[in-house]
This record gives sequence, structure tokens and C-alpha cells, in this order.
Amino acid sequence: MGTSSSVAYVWAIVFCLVFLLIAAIVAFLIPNKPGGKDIGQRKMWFWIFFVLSVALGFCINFFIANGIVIPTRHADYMTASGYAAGIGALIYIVLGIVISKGMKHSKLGDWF
Amino acid sequence: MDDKLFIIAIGGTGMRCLEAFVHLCAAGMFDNKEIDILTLDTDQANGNKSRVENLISLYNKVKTDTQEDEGGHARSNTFFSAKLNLYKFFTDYSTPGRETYRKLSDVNSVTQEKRDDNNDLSELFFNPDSVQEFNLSHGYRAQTHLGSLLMYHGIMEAAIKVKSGDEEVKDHEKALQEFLQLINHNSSNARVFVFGSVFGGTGASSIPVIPIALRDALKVVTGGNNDLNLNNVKFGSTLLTDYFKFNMPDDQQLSKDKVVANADNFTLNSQAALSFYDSDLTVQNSYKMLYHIGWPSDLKADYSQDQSGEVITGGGEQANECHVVELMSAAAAYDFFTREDLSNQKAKYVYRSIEESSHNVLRLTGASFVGADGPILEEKLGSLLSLSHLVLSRYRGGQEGINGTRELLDELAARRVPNYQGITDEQAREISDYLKEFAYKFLNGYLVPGWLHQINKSIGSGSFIFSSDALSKDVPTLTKVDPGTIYSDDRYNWDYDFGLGSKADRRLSRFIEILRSEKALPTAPQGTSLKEKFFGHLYNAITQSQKTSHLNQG
Repeated sequence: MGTSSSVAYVWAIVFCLVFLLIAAIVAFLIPNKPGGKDIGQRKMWFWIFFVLSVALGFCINFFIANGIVIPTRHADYMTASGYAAGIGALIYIVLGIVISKGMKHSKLGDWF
Repeated sequence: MDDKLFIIAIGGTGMRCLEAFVHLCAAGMFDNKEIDILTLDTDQANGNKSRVENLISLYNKVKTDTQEDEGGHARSNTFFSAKLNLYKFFTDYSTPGRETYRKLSDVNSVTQEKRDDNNDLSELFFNPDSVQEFNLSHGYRAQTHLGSLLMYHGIMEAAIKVKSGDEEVKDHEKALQEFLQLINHNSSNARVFVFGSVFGGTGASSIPVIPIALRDALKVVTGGNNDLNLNNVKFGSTLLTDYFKFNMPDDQQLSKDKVVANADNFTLNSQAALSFYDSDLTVQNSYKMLYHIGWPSDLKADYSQDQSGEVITGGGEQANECHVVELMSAAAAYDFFTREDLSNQKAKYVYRSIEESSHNVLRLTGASFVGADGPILEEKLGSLLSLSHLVLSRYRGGQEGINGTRELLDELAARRVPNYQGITDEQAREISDYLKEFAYKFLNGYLVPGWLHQINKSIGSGSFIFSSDALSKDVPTLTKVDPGTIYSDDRYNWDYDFGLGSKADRRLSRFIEILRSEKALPTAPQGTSLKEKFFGHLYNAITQSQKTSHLNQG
């Protein structure tokens, strides 16, 4: 059975959402610290999980692509993986901004 | 129109009662009030007097935003809401020729026959070897029969001197004149509350004569044009009976000092004073309200504990710890200033009893001090304590060399709370210093208890509004105290949201969320200067963080 290019997008979006959720949990778990040192830590972890979501999303698609034996389909899937990584990254950032601005007084407000 | 409010604090105990009153003002118990305060003592160097005068000076620095605006303005629903104006007067017994009653009453300008008559009259009332000979600069040493005469004399003498203009008028005499003129300008609607004890020296001597002395002095100052109508200028005072003791003086000290107050006589003094206040028509006709305040004799504070040597008769060394009955006295002033009806012709005597959980274990709540307004007192005092813990504990402002308020301001900026960075380091230090006076500070790793800690200590094994951790004597506990859980009644502690992290952190997160939100922004009645906005903002966030609040519904 062949693998559709749309799977690449699904994986990228799943990774983006999962890592955004992890970033949110970590943001809440970082305690408030005198001097606001916690604010920088939340920002840092948000971007670490951004990089991880893009990289791991691309990696999983790369492994899936390696299992596709038909060269044209393999090439299509790899192309889709690239686009999917970009779209995943975009969704991560846009959702991050929306959540951060929507909850600007909470710990998530420290992302942006 | 609101009545104009005046406070007169007399003697060491009166000064400590005033200290409690100032802290209530800092907590915001006297919203929109401008209060003129006269400190009155025989002892210019008295430790309690200088302590409270320094405290009021610090309070005014905290309220001052610019030099042109010294002491700030009266505000509402915020910290430091009342405006305080201080006037200092003392009866001068340090100038040569004025040190003792004998020297003071020696009049050269009359005939020898009249001088002999004066001496005979004096000896009829005052023991010639002790009462007429002791140094007056440390107060009247529980000799109230002498003290009443001399306090009246001291006030009248200053008024006559100011009026005649013959001699150079000293600052403290000018201050008395200004205070008298203020009462005169507001004579149709003034309320004057007098702080002092009935068992000691200066306060006990002065309370009975103060309304009459002020009335007569005003007559002198205004050239006889104005008489103080004691139905319009309403006087109130505490009948504060003995609540502390100290060592008996030894024979050596007695022979040197002639007269030393004996704490063993305080109960007897109190009994005699109460009998006097109950029957004296002058007192009954010049006061509207007299608040009877006492303390269980088994629980009396010992002010000679940890001290050895002679009994301290006065001077800079007399700076005793604060006691909860002084807070009760300040609460009496609150009642007097907020009471609607004072049309009674004769003095009303009031008291309130306190709940005991077992014998001599008192259970003090806000209602123990101010009745139905108890929750308001608890919340306002608690809000100031929460702010103190934020500054002194979370931002380590209680430690030497650390400006906790500056740290708080920097964090607010980092968290994008409206910008208060315009508050200078000096102004921030003054705020921290006030909070240290109110709560505590650390010195060489040891706790130096501030006013509220001293109040709590005086209650012994009883309970007092706040949790034991919030007023702990243990330094590590205090450095980790949670500003959101200071109350023993959990209803007033800070609320927290469902979520991840510890409860303490979620409480703080909710506080920060409120601080960042529009609903905590200060309003115009809370102030217009940067510092006033800062206090209003924190006051709103702290009161809105509480699970139950009677103050701020956001």
C-alpha cells in the first residue's frame, strides 16, 4: 500500500501540537522566581520545543519516506515533508502567539 | 462636612499608642482623613517619643512624591491613605533653674512673705524632700498630683510666651501655637483624641487637664477672643490601666533619683484613677467618650526582662516594646473618629470584652478591636503584612543592604506591569524601611521584630488574626513565608487556580495575573502621583487575590 503525501502534513501538525502542549505544561511548571528569571526560561523552552517539533516532525517523515520504494512517490513525500515542516513551524509560532496574547496575564503570556 | 481630626499623644505609653495608630493609617484604616498630631511630653529625649516621631517622619517621606508636595494627600482604598501632620511640644525642664518643682516654683519677684506662703502651700500637697526635688526632665514619675499642675502650667506658659513675643519663641512652642490655631479654625467640628495611660506619670497627669489647658491656652493665644466650646470640639481618650511592669528601684537609686515610678503601685494607681474619672465633673464635662482598656494582670509584659541595673526613669533608653493594648487604644481612636453621634453632654464610658479559648489564652480577631468593622481591620492589616512579606521575604528586603522594594519594582517592570521605574532608589528604600518598622528586619542573621511582631509577642499563647508562620520568630521560616497564606482564617488567604505547580506558586501566579490585569489598575481616588499609583495598584492586587474580601470587589 502506498503512503499519501498528506501523511507528512498530519505528522508535522501532530508534532507541532504535541510540542506546543509540552511547552505550555513546562511553562506552567516553571515556578515564579524573584526578579522575573522565570520569564526568560519560559521563552527559552518555547523555542527549544519549536526546534524539536520541526526537527522531530521532519525526522519521522524522513523515516517514513525511506520506506517508500517507488522513487517518484518517495520524491513527492520528501517534498511534502519539507513543506509540512514549514507549515508545522508556522502553525507552532502562530498558535503560540495567539495563545500567549490570549492569556497575556498568565505564565503563557511570557512566550511573546 | 466631615469632622477635622486631631490626636494628642502624651507620655511614653501615649507615644506607643500613637505608633499603633500610625501603622493603622499605613494599613489604610483612615481613608480620606487629614489628621493633625501633637506629641506632648516632659521628656524631649524619651526613646518612645523619638521613635514615633521618626516613624511619622518616615510615613510622610513614603507619602511624599515631590518636594513641593511634602506629606502627600489624603487618599482612599490604598496603603498610607491618611495624611499626617506632626507637631512636637515638650515642657522644658532641662534649662537651668527649671529642673525640679522647687526651682520652677521659686518666684523671685514677690515678697519673702508671699514666697513663704507659696512654700507652705506647696508642702501641703507635695513632699518637700522627694516630690519637690526630683528631676522633672524624665517625666512626672507617677506623681500625677504634681504632673497635672505642671502640665497645665507648661502649656499656659508656652501660650503666654508666644502671645507676649518678649522672648525668643522656640520651635516646640511655635508648634503648640500652630496646633492650637488649627483647633481654633476648626472649632465647630473638631474631634480630638488623647492617647495616654491612667497609671503612669505624664499621660495620667495630663489627660484630666488637657481639654481645659487647651481651652485656656487658646484664650491666651487669641487674646481672649476665642473660647473653646467643648460641645463642638469633642474630646475622647483612653482609660488605659496597667499592662506592664518593671523592676523595683533599689535604695541606692531611690536616694539618688528621689522619686522612681514603682510598678507595684500601678494597679493601685489605676484603681484610684478610675475612681477619679468616674466622679470628676471636669472630666465628665470635657470628654465625650472614654474608652476603658485593660489587660489581665497575669499576662502583664515585663519591660525589665533582659535588662539589669537601675530602673529606666526616662530619656533615650526608655523605648519599650509595643503591646497589643496600644493597638486597642488606636482602635478606640478609630471608633471615636468614625462614631456618628457625639451629642452626649457627659462622657460615655465604653469597653469591649475579649474571647478566651481557655484561662488567660486570648483569642483576638479584628472584631476584638473594632467590632463590626473587624473584617476590614483584618484585611487591611493583612494586606500591609502581605506587602511586607513580598518586599522583606520574597525580595529579601529584610536583610541588610538589600532594597526589597527596588527588587519588586524591577520585577514588575520585567513582568510588564505598568511602569513604576520612575520611583527612585531612595524612595524605594524609604518604603522598605517603613515595612521593616511595621513587620521585621534581619540584623547579623537575627530577627529584629517590628511593630506587628512585638504586638503578637505581647499576646503570649493567645491567637491574633494571623498564622504562626506569618509572624514566626524563626528566621528561616520568615525568609520562606508565603505572602498569600498569612491568615489563620483561610477565607482571607489568597485564592489559586486549578493547574500545575505547587499551591504557593499558583497563588503567586494568580496574584501576578491580577497585577497585570486592568481590574487592578489604580483609580483616581487612590492617587495620582507615581508612588500613589504604585500603592493603589498593589493594594488592589492583594485585596483582589484574597478568597473573601470586603474591601475590593475588582
